[in-house]
Amino acid sequence: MNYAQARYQNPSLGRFISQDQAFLSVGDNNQIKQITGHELQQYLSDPQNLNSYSYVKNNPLIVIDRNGKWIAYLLGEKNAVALGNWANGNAVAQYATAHPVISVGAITIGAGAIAVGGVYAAGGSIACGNLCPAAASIIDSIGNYFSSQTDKAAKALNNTSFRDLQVVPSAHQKLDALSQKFGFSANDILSQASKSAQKFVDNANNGNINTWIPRPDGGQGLIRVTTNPEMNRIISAGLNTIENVKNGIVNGRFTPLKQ
Amino acid sequence: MDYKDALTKKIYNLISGKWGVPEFEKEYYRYFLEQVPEGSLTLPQSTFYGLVQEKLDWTAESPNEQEKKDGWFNYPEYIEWLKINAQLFQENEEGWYKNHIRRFKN
Repeated sequence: MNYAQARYQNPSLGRFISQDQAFLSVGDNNQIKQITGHELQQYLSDPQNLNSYSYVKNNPLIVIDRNGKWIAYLLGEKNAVALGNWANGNAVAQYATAHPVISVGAITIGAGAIAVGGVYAAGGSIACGNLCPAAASIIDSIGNYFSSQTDKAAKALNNTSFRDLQVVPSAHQKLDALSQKFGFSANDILSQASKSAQKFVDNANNGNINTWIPRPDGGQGLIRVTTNPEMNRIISAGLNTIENVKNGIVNGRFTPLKQ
Repeated sequence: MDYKDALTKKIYNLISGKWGVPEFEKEYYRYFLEQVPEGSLTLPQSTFYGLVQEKLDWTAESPNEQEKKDGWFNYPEYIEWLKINAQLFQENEEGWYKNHIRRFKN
């Protein structure tokens, strides 16, 4: 376990073992502002903040967490955004971003001046002066390993994976429609939703449990997977706008599921 | 662009019988999600038109009994739900929203 002042991070799972304080403060604007420096609406406008177990918004390339409470951008937020844009055109950086490697080591990308990496640099570093292609395969294998670990974590947390649950026929049709739209299988969508540690009770609909994941095409909105309150059946799937999810959290329709 | 007007017209195309649910879904769902920019609607409007879109994820031609217990609508039920809510919303947007959130505030 890595001690991060406010909570522990499990390097084999690649994430924290408890929820972050900012997320648990949703509903208390003052406390949110104290922890994050942001207003509640601004905090909720970033879907990555809905995953309260993740380490540095799953982006250890450009973000660090010094105290287990809130993140900091290694190069400042504006530079980090610029770096993120740069990384979008960079195969190695894309791979590293898609497959968090925080428990493996720091990644250094670029020629000297730009050094980015996670705080939990336990096992050495991958240096890549001019985006060496060989690093991609290394990161690929590391990423695959830790993806499987994250799957296990989700299983341990929820006692089951969404992929193992019964999907009611009408929900199956909706999942198939999402699959066709995004070019991912229904199982891929359920697998991604399983990995999302944060789930929300829908107080407007029988106490169903919603899990949202970002759209794989980067488009507006979030993919929603809904289970019944007992979490033993997938009963619906579809899309929501971030604005609707955010407002739903603020007005009390969606409340975080205490796990 | 008057997004509220565009969304309302689509809703009335369904309610009036000009469109069926599948055609409405095709015209409304993606438009709301991908064409209406965040912040272009008021809170009650965003909530109402978002709910109309979200309910489509809970609508099927013939949901089975278990699915109905889970909250699924068939097509006539969805249209009926929409008729009632569209009328209430048109009469008083703020009132509709207050009533909507009262359900889970208490």
